[in-house]
Amino acid sequence: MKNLIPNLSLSKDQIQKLALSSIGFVVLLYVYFSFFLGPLNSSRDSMQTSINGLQVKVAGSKNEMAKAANLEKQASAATTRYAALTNLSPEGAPIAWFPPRMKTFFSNQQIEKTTARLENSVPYKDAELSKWVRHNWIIDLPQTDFSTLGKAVAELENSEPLLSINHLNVHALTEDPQFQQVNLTVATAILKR
Amino acid sequence: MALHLNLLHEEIREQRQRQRDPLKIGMMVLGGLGALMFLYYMWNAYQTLGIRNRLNAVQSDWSKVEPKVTAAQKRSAELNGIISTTKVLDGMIDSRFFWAPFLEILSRSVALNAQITSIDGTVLDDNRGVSVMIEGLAAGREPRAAAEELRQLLFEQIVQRYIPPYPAVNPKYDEGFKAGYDSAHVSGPARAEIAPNRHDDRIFNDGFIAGTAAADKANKEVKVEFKTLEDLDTLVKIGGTNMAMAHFSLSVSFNPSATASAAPPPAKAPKK
Repeated sequence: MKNLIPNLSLSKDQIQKLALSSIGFVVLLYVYFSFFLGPLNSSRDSMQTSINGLQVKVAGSKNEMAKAANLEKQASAATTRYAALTNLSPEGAPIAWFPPRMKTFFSNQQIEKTTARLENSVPYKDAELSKWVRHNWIIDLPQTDFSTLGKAVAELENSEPLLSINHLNVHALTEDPQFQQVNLTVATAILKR
Repeated sequence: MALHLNLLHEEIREQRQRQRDPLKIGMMVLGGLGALMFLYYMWNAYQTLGIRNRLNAVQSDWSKVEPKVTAAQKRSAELNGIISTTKVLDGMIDSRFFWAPFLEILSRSVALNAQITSIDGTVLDDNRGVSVMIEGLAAGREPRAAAEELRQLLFEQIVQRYIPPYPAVNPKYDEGFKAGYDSAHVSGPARAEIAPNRHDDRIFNDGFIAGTAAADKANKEVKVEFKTLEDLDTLVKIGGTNMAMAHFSLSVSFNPSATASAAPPPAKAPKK
C-alpha cells in the first residue's frame, strides 16, 4: 500500500490531463443521452403509442363494421318507410304541386272548384326533422254535401299520412241548404328539396 | 544473501510510469465505456427498427380498413338519422286527429227532427284535444228535448268511439273492467245488475275498480254542453204537422290522446 501511494502522486500536467479527460467524459455522456439515446427512445415510445392507438382503432373498426351491418338489417323497415314518406314530397316548390294535387284529389271525390292556398311555412323544432318543413294550407271546398265530404276527408286522411287537418269549418249554404261550404286548415310535413 | 544490481532501474521506472499514465488509463476507460454505450445504442436502434416495422404493418392494415370504417360510420349515422326521423314522423302520423270518424259520429247522432247548420272544429295545440262548436236547429213538440236528445247521443257516441274498452289481457280482469266501465254510466238498480257481487274474485274486482275509474275519467274528459238553446218563433212542417223549433249551439270538447291513455296498466297476477 505504501508503495502504491507514491505511485499515485500525479504531476500537475497529469492532473490537467485527467481533468480534461473528465470534462470530455461528461460531454460524451451529454451528447450520447441528449442526441442519440434520448431521441431514439422518444421515437420508439411514440411509435409504440401509435401502434397501440392503431391497434385499438383496428379492433374497434371491426365492431363498428359489425354494428353497421346489424343496423343495416334492423333499419331495413325504417329505410323503406322513410323512402315512402319522402316520395310523398315531389321535387319542386310545394306551392307548385300541392294545390293541384288537392284539386285533383277532391275532384276525384266529386268535389269541384277546390282551391288551396299556402298560409305559412315553419321549420320544425325537432332536430330529427331539420330537413322537413311544416306548411300550413287553407283548402276551400265551395260546395259539397256532408256525405261526400265525410268520404273525401276519410280518403284524404288515409292517403296523405303527413297531412293533418287542424281546423274544419262546415256551414250550410243559405241559398241551397242541402249543400255545405267547407274550409279546411291542414298542415303538411314536406321534405326540403 | 546474494546482491542484485539493477542497472536498468531508471528505464524500468519510466516504463512503469508510462503504464500508469492516468490520461492513458482514462482514455482506455473512456474508450471502453464508449464501446459499451455504442453497443447499447445499436441494440436500442435495432429494437426501434423492429417497432418501426410493426408500426408500418399496423398502418398498412389501418389504411386498408379506414375507408371501410369511415363509410360504415357515415352509413350508421345516416341510418340512425333515418330511424329517428321515421320515428318522429310516425309519432306525428299516429297522433293525428282523424276528422272523418268524428263526422260519421255526428251524422249518426243527428235525428230526422234536427239539422246541423254549422260545424267549427279545431285541433288544439300540444295534445290538448279537440274543440268543436256545433250549431243547428231542432224541431218537435218539445224542440228543447229534441236538442237534448242530440246532445246525449253525441256524448255517448264520442265516449264509445274515443274511449276504447280496456284491452283484454286477462279474461276475468277484462270482464270486471267492462262491468265497472258500464256501471259508471248508470245508477240505482241497473248498476247493481251490471255489477254483480263478486267480492270473492280479486281479479274481477280489480278490473271493476279500474273500469269505473276509466269511465269516470272519460266522463270528465268528454264534454258536450249547450252554449245556447233558445226557442224560435218560426214553425216548421214535418210530416204535415207544424212543429216548434229551437236553435241550439253545442260546445264539444274531448281529448282523444288523454282518454286513450285513461285505461290503467295491466293487472298484476295475484300472489298465490
